[in-house]
Formats: sequence, C-alpha cells, structure tokens
Amino acid sequence: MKSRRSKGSQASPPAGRRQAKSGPAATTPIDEAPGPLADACEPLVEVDEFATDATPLATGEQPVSLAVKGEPLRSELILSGERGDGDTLLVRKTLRSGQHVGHRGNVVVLGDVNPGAEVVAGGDIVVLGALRGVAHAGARGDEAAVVAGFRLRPTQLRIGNYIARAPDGDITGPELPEVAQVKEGRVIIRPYHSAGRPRPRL
Amino acid sequence: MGEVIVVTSGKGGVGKTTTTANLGMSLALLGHRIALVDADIGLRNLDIVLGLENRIVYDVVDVVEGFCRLKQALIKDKRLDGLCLLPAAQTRDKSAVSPDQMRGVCADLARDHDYVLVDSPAGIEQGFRSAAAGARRAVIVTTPEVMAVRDADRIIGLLEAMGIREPELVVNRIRPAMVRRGDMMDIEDIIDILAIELLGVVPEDDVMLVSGNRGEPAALNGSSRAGEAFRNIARRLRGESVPLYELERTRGVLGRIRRLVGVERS
Repeated sequence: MKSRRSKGSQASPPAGRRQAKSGPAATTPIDEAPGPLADACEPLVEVDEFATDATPLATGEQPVSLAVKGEPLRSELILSGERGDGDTLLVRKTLRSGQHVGHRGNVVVLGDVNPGAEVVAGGDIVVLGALRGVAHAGARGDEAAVVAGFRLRPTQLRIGNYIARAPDGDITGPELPEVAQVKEGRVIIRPYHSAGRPRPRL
Repeated sequence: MGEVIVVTSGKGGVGKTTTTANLGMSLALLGHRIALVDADIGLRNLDIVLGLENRIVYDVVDVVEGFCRLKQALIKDKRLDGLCLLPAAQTRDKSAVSPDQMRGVCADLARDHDYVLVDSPAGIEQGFRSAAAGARRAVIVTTPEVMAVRDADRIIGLLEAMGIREPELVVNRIRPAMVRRGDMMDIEDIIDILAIELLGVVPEDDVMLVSGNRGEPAALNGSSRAGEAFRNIARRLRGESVPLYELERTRGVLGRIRRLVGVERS
C-alpha cells in the first residue's frame, strides 16, 4: 500500500496537505499506562497510519509519555558526538538501530535516524537527513510540537499523545523536506515550506 | 493452558526467526490462538519478518519493567486474528529480561493462547537461557552444515540440562540437488548425530528471502514449497501425523541405497 502519498479528500488548505486514508479509521485507543484496566477490553494495540484520525495515546488527565516512560528522560543514554546548549540538543551523527536519544527540549540531528533508532524530545525534532526510525516530539504531551526532516520516512511518528505509523508496504515519498504535526486530531505530513505561515508569492 | 515452545539453534543465521514466524502463521491458519515472543532483545527481527515493525509501541522489556501491561504490548497480526506478537526491545540488551521474568511472561501468555512460540537469540548465554526458561518444548533449527549441526548438538545438551528432554528438529534450507550429488549433508547424517525427533525439512526457496524482506511469511504463500513445508511442520508440531514431504522421503531412501551400494561417502 503506497497510499501515504495520495491526496486525501480533505478540502482545507494548504494545498500540500496529504492524507492516507479518507475513511474513518478503526482504531483502539491505548489506555493510560500505569492505571487500572478492565481486563476484558480489546487487548491489542492498533496503531493508525499517518495523516488519519490519529489515536490518542493516553486518555488519562496527565499526559503519558510513551517513549520516555516516566522520569527522567533517558538522557544518560545520550551518545557521544552531541552538544546540548540548554533547550536544544544537537546530535552530530547518524543514529543507528538500537540507539536512543532523549532530551527535554528540542533535538536536531545532523545525520540520519535509521530504522530501529529512536529520538524522543520534549519539544520539536528536526532531522537534517532521513528520518526512518521512530520520532516522538512533544513527549511530555505537547501537541503543538513538530517533526521536520529532509526525508520523512519514519517507522512511527509520535507527537504529544498522538501516534501514527507508516503505511504497510514500501514507504515512499517525495524527495523534499517535510514536516509532521498534529492538526485536527490527526498527524499530518506536509511539505516543509507550507508548515508555517504561507510564503509570500514573489 | 497452552504450550510454550522455544525455537532455538545455537548458531546464528540458520532461520530461527523465519521458522518462528512461519510456524506461528501456520498454526494460526489451523485455527489456534498463537503468541509469538521475540526474545532477541537488542537485535529484534521477528517484527520485520511479520511486517509488524511500524505497530510497535511497547515491548517485552516494558512489560517486565512494569511500564505497561502484557496485553498492551501485544501486537495483533494484520492478517490472522489468532496471531499476536510480543516484540523485543531494540534499544536494550539481553540483560534486560531475566529467565525468571521470561518464565512469568510465558506463563501469562499460555493462559490465553494455545501455543506460545519464543524466538531465541543465537548463542548459549543469558539471552538463550531466558528464552528457554519458560518453555516445556523446544524446536531446534539447523541447516545441513557441520557447524550448524555441531551447535545444535550443544544446544540440545543444554536444553536437556534445563529439563527440556525431547526437543524436535527442523532442518532448514536443504538443497535436494546438492544432497543427491553428495555435496550436502543429508537428513540421515544429521539425525544420526543429533538423535532427536525430526519435525520436518524445509527446502531452500528464494521465496523465503523475498518474504522476509517484505514482511509476508511464506506460510501464507500457497505456491511456495518452503511455505508448504512449514505448514506441514506446524501440523506435526500439534501432534498430527503428516507424511514427510516428498522430496524429504525420496532423498532419505536414495541416500540409504547409495550408501548401501557404496556410491556415496557417508
């Protein structure tokens, strides 16, 4: 299924917005992490595709960060080749499978994020390379966080309490920078230039 | 109460993960409720072979560390209702799950599933010991190579010491033409050394490579010979008597005749 790149039915601007499925998605909300759960409930997690009705990760009052899993962030696992200057952590290397970077602020990766690698940030994530692994922006529940990258081919995207997965089959996409954010309850991927204010026509 | 079966080999690259995925698929096709457990923490692959990589939220380490409940970590297969996967963690290592913890996870899974198949990592260290801890039965995967058979023999000894007395054997990636020419170990030779019950033989099949990359196990492929072999193995695993695949049998007989006549080195 390569429908991630197909135009959806949503009429709203900007024109670059893409949508994978236009129908209602059959999703099961993931319930609050440590809380009690009726054992009779449908146990298995369904993760929705990008740009659909993204599944809220937590229904509890307190946003639950999935990838970070409690306090503190796994910053002790930060690899060499990184520089933190307060709010933003710069990772000057490619993150390979099994490597994990967690940071309270924003994370910028000067390199790729390969499948099996994870980037978790309290703020935004920018990958100056290909994002093929898992990225969790706004991991403390900030749904305004964004994930931007030169090539967005993530296995899974998590923003705030929303989670979305790549469509099954070959992951393809345009060879241009893109940005993912939560809009109207779904994780949307768009070309980067239309992420902020519309650029003035010259 | 279901059965917990560990799929192991000692040597790496002989097809443990592929075998786990295909046996799980085959048993689910037969209508059983199946849980697959990826015990290869830090080098997880079972999710990729099953095409479920992009659905992972929690994993087995989250379960044993109490970040989530077991049921939250289970990923339902996208094709078969009766099949689910408990994925390994990729950012951790084998020390993250102890044998006792794995035993607990397996026991919990066995309550709701007919078979729990545990995909063991290569090696004989803690990863293997954890994977085998909760199992009552074992499927040994080997290929017709002296090295793989030697390692399988070692593993069988270790399993016996752990109380798994009757492991069963899957010989993977056999090439009938090479066996016929005497360039590859034949089944008889392998059984001779290992002296355990033969569950089945899987022929080398290019389909396996493609299906692994695509996340579509060959057991779902009606035209694949390897897929058919796995479906037969699954039926034997649940106690059915299924005659050995045609090529397995002729090879066995031919080999015996050749050896009797002295045409072939044994």
